Amino acid sequence: MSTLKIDNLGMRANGKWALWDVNLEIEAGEIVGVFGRSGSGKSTLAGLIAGLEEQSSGTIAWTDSDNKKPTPFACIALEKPALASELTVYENIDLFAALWGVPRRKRAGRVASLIELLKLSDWRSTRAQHLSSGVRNRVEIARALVSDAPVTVIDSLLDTIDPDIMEKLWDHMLGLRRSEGKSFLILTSRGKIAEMCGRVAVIHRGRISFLGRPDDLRRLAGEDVVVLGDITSPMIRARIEEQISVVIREEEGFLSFRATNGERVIGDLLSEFGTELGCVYLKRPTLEDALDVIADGGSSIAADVREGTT
Amino acid sequence: MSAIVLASYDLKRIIRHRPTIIALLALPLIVALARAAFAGSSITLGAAWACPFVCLLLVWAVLHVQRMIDSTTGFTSGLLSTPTPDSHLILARILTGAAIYAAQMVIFWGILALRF
Repeated sequence: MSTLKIDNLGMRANGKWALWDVNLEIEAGEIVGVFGRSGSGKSTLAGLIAGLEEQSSGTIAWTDSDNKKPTPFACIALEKPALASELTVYENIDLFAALWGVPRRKRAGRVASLIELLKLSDWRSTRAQHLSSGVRNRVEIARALVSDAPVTVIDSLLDTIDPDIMEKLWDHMLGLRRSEGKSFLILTSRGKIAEMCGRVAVIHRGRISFLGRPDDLRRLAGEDVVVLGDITSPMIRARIEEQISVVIREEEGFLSFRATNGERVIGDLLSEFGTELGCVYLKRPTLEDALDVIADGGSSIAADVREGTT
Repeated sequence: MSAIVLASYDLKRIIRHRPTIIALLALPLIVALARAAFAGSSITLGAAWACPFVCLLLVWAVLHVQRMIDSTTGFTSGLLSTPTPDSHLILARILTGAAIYAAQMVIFWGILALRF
């Protein structure tokens, strides 16, 4: 049962299509990443989902398990934090919890736990106007997570979060997904964030050019590269070539070859050659590499997506 | 309910903005004190008559400026993305304005009542 269904969504601004032909479904309990470069249309999509902008074409439908429009629907953490500068961190989060209809008895506990989760305790009583941009971003995320909305949209803010906070935050989101069936739409320009999501939609020039699993997206950028160093026996190269039928290149004492599934190949090599291999590296193409491929040949990939071959 | 919560936080924001709250409360205070001190003056009489209307205008101006600032800083976008109906957002502004105006009038009429 889908929670959010976007059909042929488009938005025209200043005579140009900022967003066009966007089709996306988000199931309950799903984490979907919208991955694209700056200016690709991510924030426009977020604004449309949150009801801050009006679409020029297409529909956004919200459904719950009874196929009715739920209230409230999507809570958004905006790229530009929407905080009242005169209110403290606690008050800002509490205000939005109240506006999202969180019952008073639950509110204090929930706000306090989010403050702890996002390491905001030191700024709990600090007014928003005195916060650094990094802290403001975290408050904005807390503001979005405090609601009971079935879908939470986080616009580019996870790109700026410190890794230790990100780890805890992601665990929290996974917990909400499991316990409450909440869905998340993560808008990002960083591959590392996108690959954490269950599915990724690549948005390029206002259009979704790819929709699928992060691993499938990565494959667009080519195969993995396995690099072997400190080879103890000169015969190893010939044995590897013979065993897995690959073309091995040698450069500055390192052997390297391409493989579709580098992890599995390395496992096989280690079980076969063991300590004869001094060191092994796996160089995987990143999602940014895949994004470059899409940006260079966007139209052909979009065609593949339509034909269901990607 | 959401209008009352929003109004209470709006009021808190205005109170914390010291120059604004001083300007809002100083106006009726000064006019009332001047009227009390110079009871025979026609100038203070005119000012006393005009004061409630000027106070109302000042409250409206403060709320309007706050709305523009909220729009610029993005706070309005945050409010609009919540399920709070637009009518509640407007009602919250009216409640905030009413509370400030009530405080101004308490000061103004309170001082005049003490003097006369």
